[in-house]
Amino acid sequence: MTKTIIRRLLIMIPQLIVISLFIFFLAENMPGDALTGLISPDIHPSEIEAMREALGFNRPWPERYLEWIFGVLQGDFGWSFQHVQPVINIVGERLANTVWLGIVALFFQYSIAIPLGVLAGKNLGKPIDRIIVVYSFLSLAMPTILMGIIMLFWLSPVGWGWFPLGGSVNAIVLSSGDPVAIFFNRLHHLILPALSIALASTAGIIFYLRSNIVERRNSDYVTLARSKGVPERVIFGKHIFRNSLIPIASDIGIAIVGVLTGSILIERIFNFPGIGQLFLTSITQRDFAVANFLIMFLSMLSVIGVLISDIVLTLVDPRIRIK
Amino acid sequence: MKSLFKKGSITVASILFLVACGGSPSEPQPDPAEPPAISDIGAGQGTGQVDEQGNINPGLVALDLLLGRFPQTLNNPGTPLERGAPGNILRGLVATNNTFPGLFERTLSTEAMDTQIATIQDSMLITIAPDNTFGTAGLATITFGPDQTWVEINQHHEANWHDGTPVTLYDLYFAYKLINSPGYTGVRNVALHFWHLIEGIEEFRSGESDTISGVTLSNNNRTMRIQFTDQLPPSAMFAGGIWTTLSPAHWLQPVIDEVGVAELANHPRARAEILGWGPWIIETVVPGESVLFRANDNYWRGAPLADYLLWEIVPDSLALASLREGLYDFTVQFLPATFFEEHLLFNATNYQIAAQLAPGFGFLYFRVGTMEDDGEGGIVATPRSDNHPIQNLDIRRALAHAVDLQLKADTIQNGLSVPARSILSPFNARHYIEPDIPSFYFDLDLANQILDDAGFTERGADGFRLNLDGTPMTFGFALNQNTFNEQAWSTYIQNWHAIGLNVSLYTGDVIEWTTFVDNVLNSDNWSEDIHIMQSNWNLGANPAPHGLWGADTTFNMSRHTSPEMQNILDRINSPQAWDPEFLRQAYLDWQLYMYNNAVARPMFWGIQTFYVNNRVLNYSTERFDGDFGVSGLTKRLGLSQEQAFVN
Amino acid sequence: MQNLEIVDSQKPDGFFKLFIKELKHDKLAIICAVLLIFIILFIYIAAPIINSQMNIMQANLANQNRSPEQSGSLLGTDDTGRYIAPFLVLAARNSLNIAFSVTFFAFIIGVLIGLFSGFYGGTFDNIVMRIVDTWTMIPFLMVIIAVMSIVGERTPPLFIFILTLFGWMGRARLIRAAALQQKNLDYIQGSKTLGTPNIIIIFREMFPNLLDIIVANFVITMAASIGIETGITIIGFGLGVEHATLGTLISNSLHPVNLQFRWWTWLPAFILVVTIMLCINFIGNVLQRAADPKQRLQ
Repeated sequence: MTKTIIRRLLIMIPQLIVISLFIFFLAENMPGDALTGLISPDIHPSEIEAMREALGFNRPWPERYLEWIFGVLQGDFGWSFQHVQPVINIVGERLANTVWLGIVALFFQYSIAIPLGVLAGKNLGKPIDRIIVVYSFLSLAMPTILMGIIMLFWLSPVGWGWFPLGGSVNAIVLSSGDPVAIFFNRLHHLILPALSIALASTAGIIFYLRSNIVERRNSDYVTLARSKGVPERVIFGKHIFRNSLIPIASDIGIAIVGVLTGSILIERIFNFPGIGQLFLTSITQRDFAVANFLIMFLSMLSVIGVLISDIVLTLVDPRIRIK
Repeated sequence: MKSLFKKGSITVASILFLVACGGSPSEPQPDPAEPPAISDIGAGQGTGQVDEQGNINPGLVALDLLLGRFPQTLNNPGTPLERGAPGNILRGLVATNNTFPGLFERTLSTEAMDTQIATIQDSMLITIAPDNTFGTAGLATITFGPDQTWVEINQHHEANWHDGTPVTLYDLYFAYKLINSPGYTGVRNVALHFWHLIEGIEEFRSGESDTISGVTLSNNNRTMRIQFTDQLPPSAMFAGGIWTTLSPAHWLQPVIDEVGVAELANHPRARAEILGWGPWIIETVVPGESVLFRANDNYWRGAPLADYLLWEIVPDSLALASLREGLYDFTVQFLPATFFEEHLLFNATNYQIAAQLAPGFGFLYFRVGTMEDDGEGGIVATPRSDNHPIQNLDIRRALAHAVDLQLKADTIQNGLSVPARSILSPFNARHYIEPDIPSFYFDLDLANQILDDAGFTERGADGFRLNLDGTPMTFGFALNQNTFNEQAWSTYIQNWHAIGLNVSLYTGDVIEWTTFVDNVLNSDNWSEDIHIMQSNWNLGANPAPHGLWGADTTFNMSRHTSPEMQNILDRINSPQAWDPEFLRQAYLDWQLYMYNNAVARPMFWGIQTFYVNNRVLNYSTERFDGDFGVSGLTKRLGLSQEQAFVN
Repeated sequence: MQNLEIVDSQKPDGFFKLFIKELKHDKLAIICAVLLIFIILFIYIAAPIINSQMNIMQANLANQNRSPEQSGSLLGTDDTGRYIAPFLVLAARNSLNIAFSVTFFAFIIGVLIGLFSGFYGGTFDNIVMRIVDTWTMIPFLMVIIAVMSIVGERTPPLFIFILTLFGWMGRARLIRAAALQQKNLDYIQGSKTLGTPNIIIIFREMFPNLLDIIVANFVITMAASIGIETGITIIGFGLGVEHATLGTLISNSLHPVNLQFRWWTWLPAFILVVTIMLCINFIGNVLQRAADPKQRLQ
C-alpha cells in the first residue's frame, strides 16, 4: 500500500516536469510580460529595459526554466510583480480562503446530493424522481456563473438581505478580535459562493447514486436478503445505501479538484479573494510567476486528488486493491 | 495592478503625473528662434477663455453646462455625530472587481488602490494649489531658487507620526535615499526625470557615497535644500515634479538594516504595519478587500469628525445597489459614466451626486509614421514608408470630422461628457483654451466635401472611394478593450463608411490591453495594418505635451513629428517658459498646429461623479490650497445620523 | 457433415432498433427529440436567410436598449442597438457549430487513441494511458483562460483547437475500456487466429461494435461542450462579437441594469441554451440506455 503511494507520487514527478515545460513554453509565446503593465509616460522605456535586464527577462528560456526549477526545489517559487511579494506569500494568503470555500462547498454538495439521489433511487419512475432528475439536468445545464449572479442579487443585501455582498470577512468584525464572531462572519460570507459551486455539481452525484441504487435493488444479494425476511429498511441501509456510497466517497479527491476549478468562476462574481480570482488577475496582469505556480499547483492537486480517491476506495472496499 | 490607462472604465484610475520630458538637460538648450509663422486661422486675442465679445470655446460652453447640473459641494442638513456616538463610522465604497496588493509604502508602490489607502493615513508635506502648482498650506513650503538650480523646503508646523515620533524633513531625505538606493525594488516613477539632476546622485546610486551630496539638511532638520546640476525645466513647479512624500525613517531604517532595501517590500512595516502621520490610523486590513481606519486624535490639523473610516471593495455590479440600500456612505473614487444609467433608472433619492472635471482624455490617432532607430540609441518618429492614404491631410481631416462623438457621449456615456474642442484639456489647461481656437466637430457633409474637393471622387465597385491613382483604399482600426469601446467601435466604422472610406476593425474585435500595449502602443508590430487607433490617458497637473507627443516617445501614437512641432514643444519646455506670456503663445501655437495637421482627433472632456449618501456632511469636490484629497476630505466629513438613508 | 462456417458471435438487437424501443417508453425524451429537431432546423435554415437580409452587427446607438414593445421587433435591441432576435439565431448557430466541431475532433482523436491503446494493450497501453493521465492533470480551464486572454486575435479555429486539446481524454478512456473488453471476445480472437491484419480487425470488426457507446457518448459530450463553451464565453474569455455565441448574449446579464430591467437581452439566450442542453441530455440518456443493457428501464 505504502509502496503504491510512493510509486504513484514518484510517477507524478516526471508528469509535473512535462506539464511545467508545457506551461513555461506557453508563457514564453505570449505577448507581454510582467513589466508591460508598468508602461506609463513618466517611466522612460530605458528604465523598463534596464529592469528587464536586471531581472533576467532577456536570457534564453532554457536558462530561465532551469533557474525556476532550481528555485522551486529550494522553496522559492518566484516573485509576484503584481503584489510585490514572493509568490508563496500571496498564494498562501489567498489559499486559505479558497480552502474554506471548498470545504463548505463540498459539505453542501454532499448534503444536498446524497439525500436527493437516495430519494430518486428509491422512488424510481415516480413524480419525485422525475422532479429530481429535471432539477439535476437543470443544474447541469445552468452555467455556474449565472447561478452565482442570480443568488447574489436575490439573497444579498440588495435583495432579501440574507447574505453579504461579497468578500471574505467584514473588517469591522475582524477588528473586534472576537474569534467566535469572526468565525461566524466568515461562514456567513462563505455560504452563497459555496452554495453556487455546490448546486452546479450535485447532478453527477445524484445520477450516480440513483443508478447505483436502482442496480443494486435487483442484485442477487439483495434478493437473497429479502427472501430471508430482512426488513426493507435494513436492506436499504446496510446493503444498498452503504455500497452505493463507496464510489462516491472515493470520488472526493476529484470533487476537491472540481471545486477548486469552479472557484475560478465563482470567486469573480462574489469578489471573493481566493486563488481563483488571483489566477484571473495574474493572467490579465501578465504576472506569470503566480499564474505558472497556480497551474502547477492545481495539476499537483489533481494527481493527489486521484491518489486520495484510490486510497479511500481501497480502505473502504476490501474487494479492490490497487496494484 | 500597475499603472494602467483606461478611461471611463470600472478599474481603478491611477493619477499619473505627466512630466514633460524635456530634451536632455545636460545639453545646452538651443535658443528658440522666433516662432515660425503659423497660418492665421482665427488666432485668439484674449488673455484667457473669454474674448472681448464674451464668447468662449463651444466645448467649454457645453462642459460648463454639464458641470452645472451637478453640485461640487453638497449641503446636507444636520449636525455631525459626536465622537463616540453609535454609528459614527464613515463607510466608503470602491467599485472594482480587483483586489489591492497591500504594499502601502509610498516609495515602493505604484498600484493605485494601495497608493490611495496609503494617502488616507498620511498628510501632505506640501499642498497643491488649485492651479496644480505647489501650495503654501502644508506642513512645509517649497521655494525655487531664482535660476531654478536649487529648491529649498522649509517646515513650518509640527506633526507626529502615529507612534508619537516627530515628523522632520529627515524623513523626506530618507525617502530620497531609499528611492535611489541600489537594490531599490520600486519603479522610479513620478519625478523620474529629475532624480538624475540632483547633485551627487550618481555617486550615491553606485554606492560610492552613502549620502547624497546635493541634499543638505539644516535648522534641526526643518530645512532641506536640494542642489541640482542644471536648471530645472518649468514642469518642476507642478505638483508631482519633485518628490514630496515622507517615509518614516525611524520605522523603516531598522528593517533595512536587518534585511536590506531589496527585501523591504516584503516586510509588514511596509505593508499592514505601515506608519503614517495623517488623520487616520490603519486598524485592520482584510487582505485584498477592505481596510478599517480609526481616527487620529493627535492629527496636527485636528481630529476627524468620524470615529472610523471603512474603505471597502464592492463588485461593480452591486455598487449602486448597495448605495441604494444605504450600506455605504460615499464612493471613495468616482463611478464611471456607465453607472449613471443605472442611477437614472432607479432614480434613488437617498444619495446625491457631486462632480468634478475628469482627468481622463482620449484621442483618435492617425498613424502617419513609425518609430525608427535614431542611430543614437533612441527612437524617432519617421513618416510611413508605404505611401498610405492616411498620410494625406485631407483624408485625415475628413476622418476627424466624420465621427459623431455627441451621440456616443449621450448614449454610452449617458451625457456625462462633451466632445472636446481642443487638443488641450480643461482639466489642466483651461486658461489656454481660447475662444476661437479651431477644432474638429461632427459634420458629415463637410467631411464628404473635403474628400470631394481633394479629388477622391471615384468610387470602386463596393462603393468606397478610390485613391487618387485609382487604387482602392483600406484602413485598419484598432482599439483597446474597455466598456466604452466595446459599445462604440462599430459606430466609428459606420461613420467612416458613410463618407466612403473603407475602415475595418483589425482582428475583428477590441484588443486586450496588454496585447494592445505590446503591438500598437509600444511598438510598430501592427503599424503596417492599422492606421487609426484610439487610446485614453489620465492627465497630470502639467499640460506640457511632451509626454504624449514628443518625437522620441512611443506614446506618440500618431508617430508624427516635424521641425515646426519640435519648435513648439521646445518652447514650452524652455527656460523662457517661466514667462507666462511666452508660454501662452506657445500653447496657442500648439493647438493650432495640431488642428492644422490633423494627426489626432481629441475625443471627450468629461466629468467624474461621486455618489454620497444624504447623511454625509461637508462633502465637497472643490479644490483649495489645503488639506484636500481623500485624506483631507474624509477628515472633514461628518455624519448626521446613526444609520445611512435608505432609498 | 455440416459446413463449418465461421459465424460472428451473436450480435445483439440492432442499436437503432433498441434506441427506438427505449424512446417509446420515455415520453419526455420524445418531446425533447421533436423539440430539438425543430430548433436545429429552424436555426440552420433561418441563419443564412438572416445573413443575406441584414447586417446584424450593425450598431445603431440611437436605437439602443429598446424593449420588444418599443422597438417593434420580437426581442428588442441591446445596448448597441442590434436587434436581438436575429442575433439570437446567428449566435445559436455559432454555439452549435463550435460545440459540434469540438466534439467531433475530440472524438476522432479520442476514439483513435482508445481503440489502438485498448486493442494492443500491454506496455503500449500503459504508456499511452500515462500520457493521457498527464494531460488530464493540467487544469484545462486555467490554460484556456490564459491562452484566450493573451492571444492577439481570437479566431474560431483557435478556440475550437484549444477546447479540443483538452476534451479528448475522456473519450479515449471510455473507448479504451470498451476496447479492452471487446478484445477478449470470441469474434476478435477468432479473427486474430485467422491472421486478419490488426488494422482491419480494429476498424472492421471492433469499431462497429463500439458504435453504440460512441454515439451515446457523442451526444452527451455535445451537451457538455455547449455548456463549457458558454461558460467560458460568459466570463469573457470566448470569441468576440463577430463570432458571438449564446454565451455572449447571456453575458449581458452581468450588468445589473440588464439583469433587472432588460430581460430580453439575455433571458431568451439563457432559455435556449438550457433547453438545448436538456433535450440533448435526455436524448443522450435514452441512447445510453440503448447501449448499456444494465441501464435499461424495462
